[in-house]
Amino acid sequence: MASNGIRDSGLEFIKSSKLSFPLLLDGTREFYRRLGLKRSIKAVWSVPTLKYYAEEKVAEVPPTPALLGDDLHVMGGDFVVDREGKLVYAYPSKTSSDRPTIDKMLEELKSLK
Amino acid sequence: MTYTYMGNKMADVEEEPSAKRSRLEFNNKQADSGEKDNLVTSLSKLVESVESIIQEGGRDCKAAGNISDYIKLENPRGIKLMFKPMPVYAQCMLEHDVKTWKDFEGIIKKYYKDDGVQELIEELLSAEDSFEHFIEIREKELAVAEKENSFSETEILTVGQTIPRDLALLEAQSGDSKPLTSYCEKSKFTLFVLMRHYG
Repeated sequence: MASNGIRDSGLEFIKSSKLSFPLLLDGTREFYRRLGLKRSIKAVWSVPTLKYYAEEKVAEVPPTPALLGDDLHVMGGDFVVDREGKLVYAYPSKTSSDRPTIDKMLEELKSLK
Repeated sequence: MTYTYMGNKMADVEEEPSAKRSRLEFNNKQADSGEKDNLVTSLSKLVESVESIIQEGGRDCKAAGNISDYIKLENPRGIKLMFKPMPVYAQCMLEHDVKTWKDFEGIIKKYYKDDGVQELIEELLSAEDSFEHFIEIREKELAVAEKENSFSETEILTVGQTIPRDLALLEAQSGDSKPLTSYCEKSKFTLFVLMRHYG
């Protein structure tokens, strides 16, 4: 898992989420930029996003406040790299809630030779 | 059941079908009228919330002076205030006992022929358009700022290309800096989940 946040907040996140994977910190956003992940205001603050979080509120999903050093405007994504370091799958998120499903990713990976 | 007087005796009789129909229609109209009134109230509050935050946002953005300061999380009058209408959207759904915005739109469709409801919907759509327009302008300002900071000139990797061997990140747990490719060597595929933020 990678983040563009600061280490202290990262350690807090590891503890609260019980993360069992390495958390890699990309403070300069070099890796993020190389994967085409820009900062976007539109992807975070649009009307559809307001409605999405309103539905979360109705469903009583507890909000998770941003931590120190968080940049809410950096877009995320899911990327798969093979043993040789070659990028074989890329899913840059288009909105704040956009992520591929596990099934979709597995389906894509199965098709790789 | 209704009662009819038969001489000195009161007796149960089945409600006349037409009377039953009228009673049910009256009850449904009462319920619909209540639901419609609630809808009008909910929509009015929502329109007011969206319209007012656009005006506030305009003032706050101008006061910030530049987009970078306006979007900072620490700015108490920053862009995060644009989220103020979110609980009002939620309240619309809660008051009408629906779980999704799509279901709420179903209720709107039911009363759309009502002039009052139609007018409010048009006002809401107009307010939402203005909200999106405000955000779109900020997006363009951010793109300019990023370009000025040379953030947009990075060569982007595409599927099939290799991660540079010298690209290294700090591992939070150990504090060590390691090349990204070192994480890929142990298995056929490695998934990198790039978070937006910790929250």
